Amino acid sequence: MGMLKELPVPILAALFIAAYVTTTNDLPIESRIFPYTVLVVLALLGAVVLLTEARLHRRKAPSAAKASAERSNVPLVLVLSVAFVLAFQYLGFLAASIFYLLTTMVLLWRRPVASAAIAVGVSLGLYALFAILLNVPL
Amino acid sequence: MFDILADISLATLLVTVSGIALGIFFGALPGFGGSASLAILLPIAISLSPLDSMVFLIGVYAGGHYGGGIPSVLVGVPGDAGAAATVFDGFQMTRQGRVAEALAMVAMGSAVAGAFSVACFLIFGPVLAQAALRFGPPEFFVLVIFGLSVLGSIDLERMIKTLFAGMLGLAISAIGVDPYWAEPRFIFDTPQLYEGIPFIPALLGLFCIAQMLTLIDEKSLVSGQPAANPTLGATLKGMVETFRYWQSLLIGTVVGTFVGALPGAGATIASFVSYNLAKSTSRRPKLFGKGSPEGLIAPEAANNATVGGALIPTFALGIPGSGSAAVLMGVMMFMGLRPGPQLFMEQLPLIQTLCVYLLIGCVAMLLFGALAAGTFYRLTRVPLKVLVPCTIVAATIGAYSGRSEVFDLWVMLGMGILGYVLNKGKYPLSAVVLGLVLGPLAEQYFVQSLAMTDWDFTVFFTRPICIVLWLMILASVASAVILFRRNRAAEG
Repeated sequence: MGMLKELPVPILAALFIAAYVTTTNDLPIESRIFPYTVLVVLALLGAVVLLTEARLHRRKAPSAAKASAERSNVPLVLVLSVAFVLAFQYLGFLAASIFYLLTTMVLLWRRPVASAAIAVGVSLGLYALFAILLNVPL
Repeated sequence: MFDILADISLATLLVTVSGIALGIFFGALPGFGGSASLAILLPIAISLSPLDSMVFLIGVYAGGHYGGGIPSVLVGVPGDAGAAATVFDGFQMTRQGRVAEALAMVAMGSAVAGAFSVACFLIFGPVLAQAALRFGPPEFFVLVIFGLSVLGSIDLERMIKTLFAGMLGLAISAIGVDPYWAEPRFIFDTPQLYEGIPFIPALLGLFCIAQMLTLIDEKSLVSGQPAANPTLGATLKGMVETFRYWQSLLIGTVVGTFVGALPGAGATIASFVSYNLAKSTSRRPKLFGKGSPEGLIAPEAANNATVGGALIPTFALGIPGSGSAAVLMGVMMFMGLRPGPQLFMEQLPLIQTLCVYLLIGCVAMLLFGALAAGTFYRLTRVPLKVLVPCTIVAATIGAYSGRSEVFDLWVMLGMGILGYVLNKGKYPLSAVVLGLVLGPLAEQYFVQSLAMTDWDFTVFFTRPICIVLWLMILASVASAVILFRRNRAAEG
């Protein structure tokens, strides 16, 4: 199980390398020499990471996986963040940030009244400062 | 020179302090450091007199460098890439309940280094500018390699993973058109990727989003019993304590001033190189990365010392060293000042006056740090389930404000997920950021060097400055290996 945790990053890197090389192998050499050099080194280092970690895991006594007592909030925050960006695109910053802050804090902090006050206050404050005072287009 | 002191105007002093305060505010906001804050405040600057405009903008520039270190310490999210190395030890100090000490050292390190670099600008400006002129594309390429070589010593215990992360950053930076033929690489006909992965959204994703995703499952920022609200006296004591670590302060200040004087080198290289150098020369290198004051002071001093350093090529050569310096130069020319070697001869009283206000501004930075420590401390007491979503919303503004593209928000989220996965696998995100920053520079200088010598690769090994830099790279790698072996032997 320990070694499985080491796989995602090298696999992602390998997929990126394969995709990059496939989509750029018809370009002139000057356009490819630097990135290809970097990708070769990246591939080699990825292999060394896997070998080193495999050796380390073989040496370490297998320990029982720690069952986490609480469910992680990361998936929820990620889903809400994706919804925030979608809402930003179609409703604008103010509505999207009020929705996002209110939903996230109510679900995680569980204080609806305080969450509503903070969501509206922070969103309006940021909007007033950047969009109105400093003319940052939001 | 003393005549200038007698002519100090209260109005211009207030403009300087305002510039610094605004710079600190924007620098502390993720994604608003550097040229973004200068661009937003430009309309205010150009309505002022030439001197007021210059002190205001340079104040914003300097304040922004200091401000970027504040979120690095408080929440582990650097305000800009130059403050990335400040996270290593600064955030650890916060987690240990030493936030007042950390912020005090950031303030004092920034003020001292900033003042030193401004003094160097005034005294050595034209001389250092001539030395910087001797750096061509081959020298800059090897300098970037030197910057990358410090990757190995960021995290000795995970050296291979650190190097992998750095290479990953370099690989991601190779998305976009190449600097030779402008051929699109890996952009899938997406016009927003023509210039590559947008840097600020990527930085915000890797550091801010990834950090927030990591923190959301924790109970509080400070592990264990939190320290009491810092008093002004305790903060001032922390500032004086900074001088106990005078070696790290000196390293950061000198490295930052020199590297800042090289156009294009930037605060990121300066802060990482000084962190590495401070660690190599420290009597307690094992404490680096675990809340060492030396590990905090060196990169933060270097980050701020690049302010005065960057003014040297900008004013003395008319070559802006960074995006922010380019904005400054634009305003200078708008005001009728001609940057170049003759500026120091024709406008010496103006340059001297500018420097005096900036030196006073460094004192203002220190006072601000002392007075605001309590407020910053209270931020660490905000429940994480409130702080995290609010920080993500603030980061969104930083990511969107650059190009007003929703695409950049998706980049931020995507890089945030990547950063979270890398964090879980114990890959240092600072290495990825270093690769992202240095990748385009490395390729540009690499291609320029080869183009000017008809693809003669020996150009990187035969020029005198390149040879010196390669020797420094070997020394950096050797010291990393020696330190690593020393650590392993000590752990038995």
